[in-house]
Amino acid sequence: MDLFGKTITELQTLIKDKKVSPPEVWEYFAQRSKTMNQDINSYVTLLEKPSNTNSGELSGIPIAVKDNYCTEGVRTTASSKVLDDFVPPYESTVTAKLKTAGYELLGKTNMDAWAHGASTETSDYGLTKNPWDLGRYPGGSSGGSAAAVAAYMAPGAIGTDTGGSIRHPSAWCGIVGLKPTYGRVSRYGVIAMGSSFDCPGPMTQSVEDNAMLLQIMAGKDPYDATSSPVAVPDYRSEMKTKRKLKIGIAREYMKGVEPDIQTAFENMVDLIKKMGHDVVDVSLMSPDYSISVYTIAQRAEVSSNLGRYDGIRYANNRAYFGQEAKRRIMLGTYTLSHGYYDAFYKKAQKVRTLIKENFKKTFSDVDLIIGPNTPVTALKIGEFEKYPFFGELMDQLNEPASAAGIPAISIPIGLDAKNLPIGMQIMGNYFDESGIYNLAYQIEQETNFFDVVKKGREKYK
Amino acid sequence: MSKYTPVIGLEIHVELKTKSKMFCQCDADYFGKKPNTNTCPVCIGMPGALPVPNRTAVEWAIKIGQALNCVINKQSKFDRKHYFYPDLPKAYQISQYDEPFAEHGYYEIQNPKSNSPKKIGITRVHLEEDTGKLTHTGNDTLVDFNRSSVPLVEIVTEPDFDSAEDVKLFLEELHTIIRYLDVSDANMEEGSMRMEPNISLMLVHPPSFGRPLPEGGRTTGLPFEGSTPKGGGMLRNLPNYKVEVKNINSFNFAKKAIDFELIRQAEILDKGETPAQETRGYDDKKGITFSQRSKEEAHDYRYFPEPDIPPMIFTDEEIENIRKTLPELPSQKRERFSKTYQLKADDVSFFVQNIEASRVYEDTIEYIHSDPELSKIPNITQGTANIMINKLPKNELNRAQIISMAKEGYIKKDTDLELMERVISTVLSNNKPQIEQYKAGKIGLLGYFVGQVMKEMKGQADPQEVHKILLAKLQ
Amino acid sequence: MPKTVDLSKEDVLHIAQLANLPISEDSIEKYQKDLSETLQYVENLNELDVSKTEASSHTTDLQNVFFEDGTKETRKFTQEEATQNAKNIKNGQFVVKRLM
Repeated sequence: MDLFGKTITELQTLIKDKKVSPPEVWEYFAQRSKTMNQDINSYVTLLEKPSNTNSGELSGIPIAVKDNYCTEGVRTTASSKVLDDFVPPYESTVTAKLKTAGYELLGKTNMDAWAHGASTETSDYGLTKNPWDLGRYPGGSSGGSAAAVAAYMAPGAIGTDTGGSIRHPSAWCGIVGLKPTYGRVSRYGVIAMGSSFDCPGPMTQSVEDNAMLLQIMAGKDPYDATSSPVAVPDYRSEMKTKRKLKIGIAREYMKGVEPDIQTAFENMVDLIKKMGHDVVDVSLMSPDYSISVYTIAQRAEVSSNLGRYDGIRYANNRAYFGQEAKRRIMLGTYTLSHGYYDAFYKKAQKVRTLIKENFKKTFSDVDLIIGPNTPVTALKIGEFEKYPFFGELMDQLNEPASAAGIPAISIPIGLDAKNLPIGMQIMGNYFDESGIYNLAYQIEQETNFFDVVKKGREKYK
Repeated sequence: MSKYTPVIGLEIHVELKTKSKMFCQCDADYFGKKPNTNTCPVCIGMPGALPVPNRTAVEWAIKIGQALNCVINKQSKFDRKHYFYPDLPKAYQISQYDEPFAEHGYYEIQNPKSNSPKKIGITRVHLEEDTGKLTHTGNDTLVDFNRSSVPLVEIVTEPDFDSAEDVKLFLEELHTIIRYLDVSDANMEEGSMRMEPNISLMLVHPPSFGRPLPEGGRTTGLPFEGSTPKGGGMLRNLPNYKVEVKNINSFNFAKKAIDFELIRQAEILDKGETPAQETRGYDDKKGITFSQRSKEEAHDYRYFPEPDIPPMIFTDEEIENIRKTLPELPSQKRERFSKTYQLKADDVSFFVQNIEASRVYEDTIEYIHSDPELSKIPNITQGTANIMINKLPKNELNRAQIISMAKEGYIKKDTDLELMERVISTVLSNNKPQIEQYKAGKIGLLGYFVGQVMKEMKGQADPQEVHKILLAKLQ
Repeated sequence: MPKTVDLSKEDVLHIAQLANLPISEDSIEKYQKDLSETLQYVENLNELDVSKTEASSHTTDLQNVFFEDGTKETRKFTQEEATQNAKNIKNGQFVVKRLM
């Protein structure tokens, strides 16, 4: 049975119909991961064997998990030497849910250390390469997860998105990645970066796989006071009920975007119109403000959340923090310190209110907003050193949704002249992941994402 | 010393006796447990752990605020207070900064030596989590997190105290209030109530400086730690320093420590110097306070709102519903007992401070009034009080015992005086060595003599009468 | 462009101390530069009028989220689990160099 390129949904059917056994599926992906990891470096830790005795929807399905989810008994590092030998004595809510559903933990994927970045280069375990071109970044911070899916080392993965960390590498690696509404998925057990921004989410080859994983991950958690009691709809059935949508485009999001991306986006806009949807111009606040809001608030929260790593109860001491982590901790500490709180943190939180209101107002008029989600396609390794806040700049188009807490997906819409994937984001109203999936699914049905996902893994057949 | 007046404010921490901790479901009762056997990802500060607040702890904090006549804020939140110390697992304490549950309260204490009650301002009442416990041994410090994240209510008073005695009085009353609310053992010796006074001295007749008072009225250079940043004190000139004293483990220690401090500070001021703004510890063995660390550099706690916990909004109705669950408070009981039972002030105090005893008392009186026989006994309310306070041991205070003693005639009745005289003579002649000891100063033996007489009389006498006669005879 | 917030060497050292971060002498200048550049960028927020705006201290509109008082064993660690990741343990307690 040739499993190459099968989506999770397809694998589930094969397993159910007994065309392939779970151990075979495990062996297939474990072998691929082990072999290919040497070149791509997607994983920090690979599991030796399957071990889940639960049976459920995900029985026999190996999933790659970003290394900031605490997985009980399995080393968890957040790609930082501070946590080099940390073995969590407890399980995150999300992975516990996946466990109950029968999944197999394939491996813990590489990331920017502490999720600080948009390249995966700040990892203390070496950078992950972009499967499309091993001389380029996969994007970040969930770069390991994105690369694993793009090169078909795993049929699906989970990551976290704080300022674009799922959407950005999904765009650069040519896969489907969703940042859910803040509070849609529990953060309990996810190593905190920006507490008011962190969103765990699925990264997959197809929209249906994505919806299926979200279905399992989502829901109120008594251990996370910020998790939402809003009912979790049946994403897959709502996704397949074709809707005619009113879609907004913000020209503010075209600023500084590479020509190839702009062209691909405009082509997509034409297609969407042809598909029968209403496309209108909307006016959104400039992403430049979101960069500032996000940089200040996230770094302040980071400086606070990383205080616990003192080497006493677990971990190595603070001398093990890398450059980027130290930089962010320093900036965060400064903006919270006596005399500066009002000028920076409080002001950022006020502008954040403006951003939220801006989106709320816009969504009273349109169902969804689309736009490019990265200004450039995958950069060559070495290019990011120039920027003191590279991560935040690279994620400028993703940060508005992060600041507001609304959901957004990245889907592939073509390749650029360098044969690198181009992503497009679809932003939705609070808790309207269904609306996002609806359009994404329609586009996928219509275009198969221009075979981007397929082409991405071809090299690794 | 009389040219100065003390300026004392208190910071009190009360450990709540909720079942579980403040932000997780570990036991709030950590006493006697093996180290680090009462922790979970949340209270030990594991990566990825998140806090969820305990509803009961919040309600109890509000109750304490209401008992102290505070305004309960309709909108409240938690904030992170940052500092690094091994007993603080997250490197921040979840506390409350500018939107505490309760503010702007007061409490009146009545010092028996003074004519009028003294009003003490209660600046704020807020909720926070406790830290782990440190043990210093040899070259190491050991850390146990069993206590980490137990709920603590912090009560801050205005610097309205001007004597150590008033502080002790207030602490005792606060202890009683807390026990009435049944939210904590409030035991200073056990650590469920902790107290730190901030002490300074001010000239009784300060030179006029001509400085206008800033908004909020404070002229101290440094903010009064614990007061809300919005200000809220009385318009006063406060001294430009204050000394915090730690490690005070009882009401008595509090008085002694403050008394010592006041003398120490006066001596420095007399020299024309200003006492250092610092934290000092109290050593009861030596009876002194000693310098611990300089409070000169105020901590930069980098407070910001706790993003992991949504804010709390209360309606007037919800706040009122909590107020309705307040039991009768000590001051109310004091008034009611005085009026209803016409007891001596000391006896009233006994009942105010002993909740269980007062329950038994009221239950007994009610029973007596419903019984045609018993209700005939004269002076029964004071008599019952006498029995409970003076005759019965604390662990035998039950209605049945009391009634039986009342029936046996412990209350004033016609005593066989002739018999009593004879018995007294006999007892005295049989106890000559004890009489010697008594006359040498062991006056406690009088109780022994009374007991002997009562035994011989088989209880058929008024012990107070016996006491009076013996006292006269032994002169 | 508004005036850059220029951090001094003392500023950097003070921040590192507050943050309990060991930084090397020769890295101070780079921190000065990096931090100042970032702070300069975020000054763009001064272009917006937020005089009548409330700060969003929380991302959701949730309020009054509590748990009901009551102990549960579900998440409780054994002493072994609580201490298994520590480098220095004595009698089930975490060890640090003696304070004071």
